[in-house]
Amino acid sequence: MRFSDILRMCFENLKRRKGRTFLTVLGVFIGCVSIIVMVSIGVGMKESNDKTLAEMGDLTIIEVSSQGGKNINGKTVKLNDEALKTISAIPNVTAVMPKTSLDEFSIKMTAGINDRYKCEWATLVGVDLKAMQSMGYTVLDGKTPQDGGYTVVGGQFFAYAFTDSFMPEGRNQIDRWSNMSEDGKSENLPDPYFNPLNTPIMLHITKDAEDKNELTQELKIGAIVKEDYSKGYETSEGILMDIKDMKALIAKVKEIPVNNIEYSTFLVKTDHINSVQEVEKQIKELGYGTYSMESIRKSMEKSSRQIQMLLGGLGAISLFVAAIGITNTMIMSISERTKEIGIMKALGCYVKDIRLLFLMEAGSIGLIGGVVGCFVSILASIGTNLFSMGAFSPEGTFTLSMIKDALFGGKDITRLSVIPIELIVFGILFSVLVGLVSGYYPANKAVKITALEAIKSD
Amino acid sequence: MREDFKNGPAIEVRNLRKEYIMGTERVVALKNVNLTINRGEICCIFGTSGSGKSTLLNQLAALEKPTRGGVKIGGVLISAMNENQLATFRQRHLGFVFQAYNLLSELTAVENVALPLVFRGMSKESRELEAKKMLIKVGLKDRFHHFPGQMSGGQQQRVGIARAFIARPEVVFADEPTGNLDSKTTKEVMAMIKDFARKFNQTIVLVSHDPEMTEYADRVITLIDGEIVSDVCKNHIDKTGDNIKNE
Ligand SMILES: Nc1ncnc2c1ncn2[C@@H]1O[C@H](COP(=O)(O)OP(=O)(O)OP(=O)(O)O)[C@@H](O)[C@H]1O
Ligand SMILES: [Mg+2]
Repeated sequence: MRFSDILRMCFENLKRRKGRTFLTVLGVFIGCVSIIVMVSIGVGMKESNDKTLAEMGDLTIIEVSSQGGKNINGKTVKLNDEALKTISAIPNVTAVMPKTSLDEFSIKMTAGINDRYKCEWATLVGVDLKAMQSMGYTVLDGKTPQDGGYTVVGGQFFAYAFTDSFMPEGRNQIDRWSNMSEDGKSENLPDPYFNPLNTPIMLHITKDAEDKNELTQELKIGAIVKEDYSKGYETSEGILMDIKDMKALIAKVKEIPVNNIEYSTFLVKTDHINSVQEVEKQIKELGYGTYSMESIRKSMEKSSRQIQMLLGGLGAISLFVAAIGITNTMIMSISERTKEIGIMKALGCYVKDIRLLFLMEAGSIGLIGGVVGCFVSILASIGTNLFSMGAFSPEGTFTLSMIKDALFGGKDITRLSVIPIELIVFGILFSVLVGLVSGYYPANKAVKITALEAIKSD
Repeated sequence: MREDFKNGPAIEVRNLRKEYIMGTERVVALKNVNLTINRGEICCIFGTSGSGKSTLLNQLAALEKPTRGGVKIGGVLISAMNENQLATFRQRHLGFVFQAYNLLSELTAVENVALPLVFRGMSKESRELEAKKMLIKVGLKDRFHHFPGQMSGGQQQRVGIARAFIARPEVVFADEPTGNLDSKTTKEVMAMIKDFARKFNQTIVLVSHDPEMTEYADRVITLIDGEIVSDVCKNHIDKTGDNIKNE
């Protein structure tokens, strides 16, 4: 039999039993829509998770600390230049940046005429400024100082850490949070008290509040970097100083030789998010403590995957019910057509053609349900997203470009339901597969009908 | 003659036995049938109800597997064929006319007649052209696009005959082909079958309980309780079937 004839026969048969075909297709349609809508909500969740994570900072950074840990030889591990070399040599590590700080000291900063602006709890770290670019720091303004000399880099919101000592308590600070929109984006940031790039900063270091031997040092801010918590709080309101300058400061306040100074942490950058886990494991094996966004990312991914599975499973149940519907329809149709199949066999129809005919009928039911289901799912997804974007609220405005955003997403758009093209392809293929699998048993039943049925008078 | 149909007589039956098991009971429908039907013969299997006529026809046409013995058509042992081989064999060499016409109710007259050619993979245009020619021959040239439900019994059976003969089969089986028709229509239908058979030297195996039907046959085989009790040749058809001599 020609394929075109089987195809024609298949559609004639489906057309002949319109009502029943419609109801069976409806079942597949509902199953398909529920799977796609459910999974799309899961994908939407993942998309917004990813956005949240991206805002948290660079996910390829691992922070390494010594924590008094011991290596395999039982020696206490140290964060020194030797360790820097060892960790740099680990595969997939693209850069390592040593960091030092003066945590046990009280660090204050002042700026402006008569030290008008004060920062009581300043964050100061020493880093390898030359490695900043390879570590993935984003310079927002100015030029990264290359040779220290107490020209430093400030965090994105450095100037907001200062209070105005001429103003009474409560009105002595620029509140950079007040104008922030709900999703954490600061659009209309108020100006700080001064421009850090052209204001000299005075650093005051003391052992504690009572200490009279204050060490002071004037700093010049050469550049401003973007806030990134994975690299440290100093990228927000602190200062990054060249490590040589920092060591010199530490040597002075602690009264120890420069060579005895250890680093407090290393920042390790890996080439890809997927390398983080392995690199972290290897560093741990060396005896160091590590911290990265990996565990947060993993647990977020795990929970979103679990929810996706749950939602997809709910959808799958309805498609399973649809599959039973197809099987039932096909069995009914076959018992009605016993005589017809007998006649076809008596006239020389091949078994494989009969099987193909019934599989195609079942598959077509799946295909039609799947295609219509995908189409309706896309409409439903657009509708849901438009709704969540506020297109239908009384004060919201509805534009055509919102439909595009609802469908394809965008940088600043949080979508409730995301349908990637793979999901559509999967939805259609899966519906066809459900049809074929449900048709398999009835098709084999049809094949077993003998030509003798043609002779039998009912 | 086609390649796989070149040897021997049209049908050869050897030691054919058919039993049906009904629960614990065993029904012997055919006891031990030996039979040779020549090419071009119109052969009537005659007998009372329950004598085993239909059972014999079903064995001859390989619609059922015999309990024992074998059936050869055109020298080929069809009782040993698998489903696939049988389908090919039916397409090429066998035709059927049924008592209840057995047309597909959703297909028009033309489509019904063309059905055997569909299974052979012939294109829609050429098979429907053939079907129309056949329908003209059976006198239904103004019923091409009628559905079976829109035709009389006689007309339906003529469509059935057109379908049975369209692929020029060597053997056509007909179980009570006129069982549902009145005597006038019976005459027309039988004349038509005989006409086709003679024109292309086709073998017809006819089953009937009606003594009148034996008139159309060259040979009458009478069955009683699953056994051949008489075999009367009215017209001698020689082995090659080239000429037909009257007794
Ligand atoms: N499928 C079957 N199962 C059990 N017994 C059967 C079956 N088919 C036929 N028989 C039995 O075989 C015997 C012969 O039946 P068959 O149908 O060949 O008779 P018949 O000569 O065609 O009769 P009729 O003229 O009424 O059609 C009968 O006794 C019948 O009961
Ligand atoms: Mg009978």
